[in-house]
Amino acid sequence: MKQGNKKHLFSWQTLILKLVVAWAIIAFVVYPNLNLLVSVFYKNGEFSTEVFGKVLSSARAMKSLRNSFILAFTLVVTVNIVGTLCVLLTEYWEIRGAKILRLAYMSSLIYGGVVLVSGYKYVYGANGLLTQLLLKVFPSMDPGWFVGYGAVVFVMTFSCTQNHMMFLKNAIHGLDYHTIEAAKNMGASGATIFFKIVLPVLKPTFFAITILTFLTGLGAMSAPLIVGGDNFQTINPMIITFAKSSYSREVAAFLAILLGLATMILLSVFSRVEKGGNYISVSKTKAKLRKQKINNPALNVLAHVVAYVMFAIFVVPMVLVVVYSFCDSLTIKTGNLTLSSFTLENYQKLFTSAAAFKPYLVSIVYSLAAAAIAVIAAVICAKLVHKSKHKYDMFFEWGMLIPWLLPSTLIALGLTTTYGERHAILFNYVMVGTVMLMLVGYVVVKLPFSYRMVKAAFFSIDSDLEEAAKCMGASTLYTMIKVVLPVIFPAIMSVVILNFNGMLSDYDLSVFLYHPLFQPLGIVIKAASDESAAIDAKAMGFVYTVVLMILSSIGLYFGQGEGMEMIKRWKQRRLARKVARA
Amino acid sequence: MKNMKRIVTLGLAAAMTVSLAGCGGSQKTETKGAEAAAQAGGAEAAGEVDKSQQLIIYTNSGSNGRGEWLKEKAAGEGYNVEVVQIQGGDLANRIIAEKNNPQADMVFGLNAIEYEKLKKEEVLDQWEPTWKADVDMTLGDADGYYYPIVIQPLVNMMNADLENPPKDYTDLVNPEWTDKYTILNFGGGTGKTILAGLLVRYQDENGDLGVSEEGWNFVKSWIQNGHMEQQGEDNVGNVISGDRPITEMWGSGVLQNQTERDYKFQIMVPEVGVPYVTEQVAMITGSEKRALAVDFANWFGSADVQAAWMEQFGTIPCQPAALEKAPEDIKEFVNQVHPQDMDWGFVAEHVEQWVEKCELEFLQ
Repeated sequence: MKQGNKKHLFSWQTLILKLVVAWAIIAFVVYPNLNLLVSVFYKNGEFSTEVFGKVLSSARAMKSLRNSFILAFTLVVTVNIVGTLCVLLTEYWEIRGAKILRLAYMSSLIYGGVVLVSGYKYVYGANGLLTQLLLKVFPSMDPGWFVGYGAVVFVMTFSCTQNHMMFLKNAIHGLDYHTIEAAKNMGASGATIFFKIVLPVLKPTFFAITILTFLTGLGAMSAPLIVGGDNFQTINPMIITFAKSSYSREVAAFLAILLGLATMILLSVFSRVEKGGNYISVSKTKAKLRKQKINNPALNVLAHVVAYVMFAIFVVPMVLVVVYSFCDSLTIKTGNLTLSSFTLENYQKLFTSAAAFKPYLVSIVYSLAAAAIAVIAAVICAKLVHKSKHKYDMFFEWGMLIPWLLPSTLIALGLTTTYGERHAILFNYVMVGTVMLMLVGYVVVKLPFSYRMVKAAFFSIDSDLEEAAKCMGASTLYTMIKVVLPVIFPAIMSVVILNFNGMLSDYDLSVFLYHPLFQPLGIVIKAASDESAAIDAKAMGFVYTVVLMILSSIGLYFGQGEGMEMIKRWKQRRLARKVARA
Repeated sequence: MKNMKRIVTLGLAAAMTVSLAGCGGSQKTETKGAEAAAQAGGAEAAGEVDKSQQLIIYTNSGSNGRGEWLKEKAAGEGYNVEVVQIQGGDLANRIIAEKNNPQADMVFGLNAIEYEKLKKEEVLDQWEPTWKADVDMTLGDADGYYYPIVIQPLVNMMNADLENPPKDYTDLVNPEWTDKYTILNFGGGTGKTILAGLLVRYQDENGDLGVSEEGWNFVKSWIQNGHMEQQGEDNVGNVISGDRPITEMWGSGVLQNQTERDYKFQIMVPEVGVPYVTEQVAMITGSEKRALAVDFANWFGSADVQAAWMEQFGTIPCQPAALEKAPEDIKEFVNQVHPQDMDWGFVAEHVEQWVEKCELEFLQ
């Protein structure tokens, strides 16, 4: 085949690909949200400004908004410190028992939300283990000390380190040990190596994680609700309450837009800074990272102490959640654990109900499909944007990031209000009431995260590799599949797994979108743990969480660590056989 | 690397299957619907319905095993029903969203405020159950869109040893009760309806959002003198321990908690009465199985089924014949309270505005 011909054919394909992706972004991301915002603000043919006054004069809204920003900025600092420590303690420095520490630190990957915060409350709350212990030592202390700003920051700092444990870990394993050795030979100290060599290479990953952390802080929900107390409530619960009332939807939209603007500023700042140069190793034969010994004995002891204190902070709430899942619901509500409160009834109920299995299947199928589709879309768009030739290619970047600007409740509302009617852009297809609706919703909310993490992974690719492939006559597609994808595959798998785990028990989005005959887990859990309905509601919430922990762990096992190794070994064996045959 | 291709292909194939399944599914239901309509028409003429067809029923009152129970009980009568439990706040939104592609045939549960909203959105049809004459139709709809089945008085329940307890919400604003009572979130049905019950007392067409200034001042001090429920706190436990001896609660919640915690609460009963939330049954516009759905509703709302429902789940039925069979604790509770006279149309018209005003201006 002639090369010119091939190239021509390919650009034609690219154009079609671009058109399809652009249509998908407009139809599923831009149009529904725009439609919602317009319908919210344009009333009776004119732009309504009433909402500005309403919101700006509300002391509570302003205070909550301020708290959300305070929380976001605090978390950027604290989560980065704790998350980086987690990764360094388990992957970079030599710490005894790193394997068990790693398992503990990864606990934030397998559970979250209300149950996680409840777990922390069982340790630090008024009836909590630690509080009861402290009360024995200091009888005069206030048992309700774990409330407000500090408590929220504490809980969220430790529960939002999952991105570090996934992506920073991958990035650290991508370090070229030759550079570290070289620096050592030149007499650099451990600190110099760390700050001058290790950190710069991790920069793109840090940027991506920092954005995620900031957004998590802005969108905080369970932690402020449960331990925020009267003085530290945030804006997101208010947005969700208002979004559900058709009259107050404009307030929700306006608040969401304020948050969205802040997010946009942050994103563009980071986009600019990120372009300012990234360090990648130019070595063609990367050496595997070897763990660093901390030579200073005092620092070494300190590192071990920190590692195991963090171990306790991570593990105790999780253990308590598991323990309480075996208790009757009264114990869960009051927190008074006695021997007689243990029961197997909760689990019996879960496994004897005939319909118990279906929601798991529904959620697994939807989450897996959405996780994969979102990542495929992210890879395509990241490729289109990365080294793009045209300015308008940036459309794809902003298109992928739009869902970050709105809370998922509003995205869901945009989809239901728009595609409950016939619209030409979707070929007059009424999507509400079909099984497609929730899949689209799941994919849309996972686009920005997938895109951002895949983009960061693209930055870590040595462009010489691509060039070499191209010089040898490989087409762009071929290079992409055979050269680029294998390099970023670990990152891609991490994104898929995090997407999957994130959607598995989703409620906020699903509640608007699910097909009545295919109820996902989040809906079933909420129904089972809705306090207004059931006596043993809370207990079931815990039981479901434990089952979800197991599911997520399985996901992690296959996406990371052991499972991945197993697949790799299997692949290698196949390759070896092939070579032997040849 | 072949594996990678395979994985990608597999993924795409899976995605396509899902999407194809999506299209196929909806088409199927459409054709099924058409057939059903034809059959239902024929059956109606003959005065019989084909019970084997599946009815999809939306409710916010199907959790705690109620959905399964109803499904089983209905199957015993030959009905094939799927009970879909959806939380109160979201149920009405969903029915409205599905206007152009309705999935459910009927709905039960909710309350008059939500049904008024649905009526306005034109997603309900008029109908008439056989038991219409048995129930108190002041609780239902005069236009014949929805009919009452279960009542839920919303009250303040109090610590049993509380001395000189408040008699009305108007007492609560006194300094004596500062931070002594829990107000449930206005996003939920109970909190919202109790708030509405307070505001309708001050109806004034010249006032802000239909309420006089006196009314707003009262509600403001009521909210600010009390404690808004926080997620994860044990508000019933606080009542029993006396830490915060008063909390809002829905009727069956009072009864449930009395049994569960082995405790007897005092109930605050204002002279004007307490708001009664009434669960109702209605038919969703666009359903192709109307005759069957009505037939099912006739059975479901009958005194026998409502009595069984009560015995199983502690609800308070509207059917007087069913209520007669009630156990002592339900009877005692019902005799203690009486309904407040509320203009539900007025409430439905304004309640979202009221909630927004309170959330933005009064909550701290």
